[in-house]
Amino acid sequence: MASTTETKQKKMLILKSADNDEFEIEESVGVQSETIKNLVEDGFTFVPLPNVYTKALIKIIDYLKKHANKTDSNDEEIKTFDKDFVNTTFDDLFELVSAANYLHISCLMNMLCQTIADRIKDKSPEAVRKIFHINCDYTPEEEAKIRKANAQAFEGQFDESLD
Amino acid sequence: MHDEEVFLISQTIETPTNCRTNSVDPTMQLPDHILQSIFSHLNFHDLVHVRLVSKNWHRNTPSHFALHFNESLFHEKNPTNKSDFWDWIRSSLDASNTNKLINVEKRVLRVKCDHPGDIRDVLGLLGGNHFHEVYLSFKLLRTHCYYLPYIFQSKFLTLLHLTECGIHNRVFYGTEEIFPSLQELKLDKVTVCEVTLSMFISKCPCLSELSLLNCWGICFIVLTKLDRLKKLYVKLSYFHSFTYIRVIAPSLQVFHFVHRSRERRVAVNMDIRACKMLREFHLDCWRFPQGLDPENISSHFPRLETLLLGPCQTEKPIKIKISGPLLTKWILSFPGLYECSRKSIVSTPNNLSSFQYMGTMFQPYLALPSDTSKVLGSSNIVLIPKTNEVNRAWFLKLRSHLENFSNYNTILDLRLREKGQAKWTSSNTAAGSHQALNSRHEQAQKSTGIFVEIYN
Repeated sequence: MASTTETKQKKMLILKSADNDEFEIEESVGVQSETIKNLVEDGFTFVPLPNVYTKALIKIIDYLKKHANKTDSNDEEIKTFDKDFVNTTFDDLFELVSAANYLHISCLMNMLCQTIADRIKDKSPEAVRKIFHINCDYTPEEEAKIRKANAQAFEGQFDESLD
Repeated sequence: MHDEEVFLISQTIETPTNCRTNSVDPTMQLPDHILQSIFSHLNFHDLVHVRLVSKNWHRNTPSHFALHFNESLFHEKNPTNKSDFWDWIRSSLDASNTNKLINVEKRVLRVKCDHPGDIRDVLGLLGGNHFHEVYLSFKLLRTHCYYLPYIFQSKFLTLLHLTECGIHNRVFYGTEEIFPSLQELKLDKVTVCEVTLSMFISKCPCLSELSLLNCWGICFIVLTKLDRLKKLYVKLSYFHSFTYIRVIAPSLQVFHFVHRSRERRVAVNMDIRACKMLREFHLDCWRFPQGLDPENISSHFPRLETLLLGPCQTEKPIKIKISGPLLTKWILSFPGLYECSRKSIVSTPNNLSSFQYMGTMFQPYLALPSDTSKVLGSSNIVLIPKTNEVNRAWFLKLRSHLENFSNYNTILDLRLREKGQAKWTSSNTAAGSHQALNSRHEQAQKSTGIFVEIYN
């Protein structure tokens, strides 16, 4: 446990989410985000994040804390944490990816993009449209044209599930 | 653990502004570059259906240039001599096309050939053009094996599939070069020795998916220090005498091992204890591997979600303990060959949602303890009865067995074989009420929820 003197030495930051919730974190944890780092270097200790909602921010602070304490011995633990972290709904993943993008946390961005890619890669275009409520803006002719151009790739089986 | 709670200083109670209506496409709200970085993780084939989703998605997929060379199609169109095919490739890969190639984000090459000549210079062109994905397939007679003189170097190569060829023992000697970006390697019917294989793999620091299918010349597989490996597929051929496999890959999530060799009595030695992150494990071989503890599969691999067990006979009756907290899908394939009794399978899965059984006989141990029935969403039983004649006695036996499952939502798939005919018939029964199952299959056809279709 941290002693009182140590706590005093630790520089703290306050992050404010888009829904006006405030979170106190250690500076060393926060600067893993390039966006926060730039602000800290300019002398800010209060960081408003108008593009990041509380729900995503709580998860991201968890992530930053975990990764700030990275050592050789807890490698396994972090991997487990990461796996649980991305084990969530598509909506949450997109919320997180846009927050991570705003905060410039490249390792988190990379992990989230990889996860989303892995989860859509075997899905049929129809299933993907349903999941993301995407309107198909192709005319049947245009769709047929693309299908034809890539006919060779339509050999495998698609996954029609929506999770 | 130093997991302090996130410290909330102040909380203003407001109507949440981030409540998106469900009908909004979240991908339209993302900056284009995020979609682009998501799609950059996909290979050429996955991108095809991503492009079909919408114009917005299409616009954000990486531009690609794919070259397909298929020798047999080429000869159909140009019934001339054999060497032209390679000249065609040479001229296509030559300078005139290079500009087109350089300006795209993904370069894909697929070659299917029947008569490789001296293709050293072609391989040189492949390296020179920095392809991202290369699929090379040599369709040859079994007696002839085309040995690749070398594996071309490409610093962008992320995916390499080799089919029906050989990798020469000396390919990697005296070369320091590595494949820094190779992520997916698939060797299908490739002749390669163990030393060459492990040299190859040690040169791929970013490898995340490795498939070794029906590779000739491999008696053992040792994969160590593969920190990024996530998926490993090993399938050995019928004629393979394979002795051991050792995998040290801390990130491994999917491992399929299929070994239906002609030597049914020999057990493979398997050491995969270091793969703690294993999520999906398919073990399909005649004998349960040595070095793998059937009683502790769940505790050795705490993150296991899907488990498939093939016949896996053992020397003496064993106990298989299935109790993983995350295990949701469990498939027993032909477990009639297990030498196990009622108590052999101890299963207390918390959230098992799918249980599949495929076998020739009814096994009493398949009636899971009644407390699990509450959580078991559905189970799927595939029966391939040994009996040639489906008669009253057989159906009575089936009925009495299925009574054990009456609490479950079970899908029964019966595959019957007509006597003297090698034709399989299949039927699906989706019902919670197995009581309705009648003793004769003519009646069974009419009864509720049971569909037995016999094709003669």
